Amino acid sequence: MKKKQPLLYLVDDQKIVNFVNQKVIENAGVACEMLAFEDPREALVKLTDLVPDYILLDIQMPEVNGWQFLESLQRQQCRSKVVMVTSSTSPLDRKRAASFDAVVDYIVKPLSVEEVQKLSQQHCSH
Amino acid sequence: MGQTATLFRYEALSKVTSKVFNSTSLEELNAVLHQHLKYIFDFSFFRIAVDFKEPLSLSYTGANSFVERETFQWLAHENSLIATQIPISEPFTSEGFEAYKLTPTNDAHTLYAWHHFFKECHMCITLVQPKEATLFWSETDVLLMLSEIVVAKVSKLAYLDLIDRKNKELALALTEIERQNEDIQAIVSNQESIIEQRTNELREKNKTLLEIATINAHSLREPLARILGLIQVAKGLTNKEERDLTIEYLSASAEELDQRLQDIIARSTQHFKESLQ
Repeated sequence: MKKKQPLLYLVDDQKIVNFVNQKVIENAGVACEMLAFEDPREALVKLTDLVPDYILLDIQMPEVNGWQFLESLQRQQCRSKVVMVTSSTSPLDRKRAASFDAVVDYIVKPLSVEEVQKLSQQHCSH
Repeated sequence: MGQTATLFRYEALSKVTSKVFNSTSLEELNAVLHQHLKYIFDFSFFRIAVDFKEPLSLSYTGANSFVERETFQWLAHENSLIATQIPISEPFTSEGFEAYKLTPTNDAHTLYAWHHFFKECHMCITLVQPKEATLFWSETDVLLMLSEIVVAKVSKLAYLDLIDRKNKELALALTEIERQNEDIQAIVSNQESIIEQRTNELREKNKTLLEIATINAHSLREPLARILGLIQVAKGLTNKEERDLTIEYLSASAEELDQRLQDIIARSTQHFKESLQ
């Protein structure tokens, strides 16, 4: 029986970023299913019935920012792992991200093929 | 002169001496002498004059007493006493004594006067008595003794007065210094608070500038990161539709980057102009 592919949520208010991230992951040759959300609130609703293995999350977004999104995940006791993908190079943001148990990595945009392959080896070694 | 009278006189002298010693002001000393001199010897007029740094005289008639300091002047016979230092014993003439309201008949009284040095100062003692009251040598001793005691006390009071005045001057000076210190302290603390205020203003401005710089960097990095990502992705695209989409995205992101740069330049220019005003 074919092993089930991991499910990824791409959460970024910029559809261009979601497009880039999706293409980079495809180019990296990582087999997975992807769902892209420009509105973080939609992602929060969706994960109540379809829990992703990973979430690529931006920080600066209108309506619900990355930190509020992470707090919602905590409240929902969601077990998805989160990789922050942000344009912020601030050490303060990096430190704050690390304070959330769900966050497994912090990547400064743009996401690269090499980083995706590295992540895949570290977290999906099957 | 009888022995009893002499004893009585010495007792009176002892009493006056003690009162003189206890006097705390020239006024009190004058009152003591005015009241008690008559118990020591008979006199129509008695005067002690001394030329301290601030010369002074104490003069007594039966009814009045006179303390002269600012108005002090040597009397005519005192000037000749200072010049010759030879004691005077002569018929009294009231000329020159008008200020003391003396009314003795000219030839009925005798004027006695002696000169002494008191701590290198000239001291003149003058006594006017009725002619019939003959002066004994023992009485001149008593007068000299009393005069020296009085002058010593006057000298002491003058020094105490001087010390008191100096102390008051020092106290005034000290008050002035304290007041000026307070003024200086007020100026210093005012300047300190101005400096602190300016420092705080500068700190706030620096903080604002740093925040603006940080926000600018972040806002620029966002479209730039997108462009970098798109370029990376474009290399591997074979699908024409996706390539066209990527070019469209690149164009939109580059325009956004340009717009953000222009905003920053406009805001920085405005901020710079405001800070110059």
